[in-house]
Amino acid sequence: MASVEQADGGSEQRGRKKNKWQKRKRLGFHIDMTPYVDVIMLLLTFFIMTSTLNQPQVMQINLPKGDENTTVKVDMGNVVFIRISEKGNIGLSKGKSDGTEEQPIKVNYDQLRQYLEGWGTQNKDMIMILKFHRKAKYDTMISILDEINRAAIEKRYSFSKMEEPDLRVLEAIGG
Amino acid sequence: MPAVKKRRRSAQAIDMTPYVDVIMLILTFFILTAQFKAELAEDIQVKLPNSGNDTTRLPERNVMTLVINKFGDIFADVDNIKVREDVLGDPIGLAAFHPDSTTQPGWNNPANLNDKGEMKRPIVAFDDREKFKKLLIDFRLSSKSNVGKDLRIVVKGDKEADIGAVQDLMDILKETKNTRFAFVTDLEIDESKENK
Repeated sequence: MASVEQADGGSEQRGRKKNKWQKRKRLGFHIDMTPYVDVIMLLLTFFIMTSTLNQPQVMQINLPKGDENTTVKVDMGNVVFIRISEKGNIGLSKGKSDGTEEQPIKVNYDQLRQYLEGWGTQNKDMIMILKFHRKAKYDTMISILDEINRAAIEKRYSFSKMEEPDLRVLEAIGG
Repeated sequence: MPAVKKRRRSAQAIDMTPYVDVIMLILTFFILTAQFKAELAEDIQVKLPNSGNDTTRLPERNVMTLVINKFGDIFADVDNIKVREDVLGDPIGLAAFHPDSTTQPGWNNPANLNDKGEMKRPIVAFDDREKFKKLLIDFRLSSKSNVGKDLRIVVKGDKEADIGAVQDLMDILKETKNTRFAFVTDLEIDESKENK
């Protein structure tokens, strides 16, 4: 008897518990999301404002290895001189096989690329020698390297010091 | 009239869950892509030149940055604190060198360096070319022993800087056997430069 009662009581308890649980589930509740959304919007605004969108890019340069004293002999016929004056003017001239060079021409960035593309396709061994005036602006240098990179030619160039004769060549195109 | 009253009472609560979901996604995106500017970038201001061709991105870690400002000063910095402390003796120190002896270094006046006119980082000035060369070598050696990786060199020049300073720096890099480096530029968006 007792065991039966117990069993009954147990089932009743379980039943009651179940009812309670069901009741709770049915209750349902509402969380007010507004403050949560407010904070998230603040965070979002902060990250949008601080993120840097235009990440700088880099222009890879490889200088030749070796001593200052090692000299490389090149055929002047393959050499193209690009000289940049103090004012930022570009003088372009082609070397001749006998060691002299042609009359320099004054070019702008667009023409520079076209000339280099023309000569570069004719002569696959073309070497560009860049001579910058020390007082010229770094911006000019990057623009010229950019044009060389853009041109569809072999990128074979070297930097060289500007000397007295170069200045005279530049004077011929107006300094 | 009763109809109006009834409509008023049935104020609808908008379910914000999808809205919050989307905003959380956007937030996560911005948090993950956010990159905070290095200290150096704030301290020495330079206007980067534009270039349009190269698509290589700036490396993020193990970088030696060589900044050239418009006064022709060269600032050498590495992103690793340990390396800086090792070589400069100051974890936030910034090495500076002025290659052209005919002009005055620009860092004498902090107003030259950035808009705020003050430096957060102390400048460790080098007046000797050989010592500056040694510094660059020390940076690389220290990075190899501390981080285990070689430094990558980027040159950040101001648009208005004289090419002379850049040439001096290139000579120094060549003499210290750093023949691979990169110029930092901004991506050029318009083609107006072509018609200059």
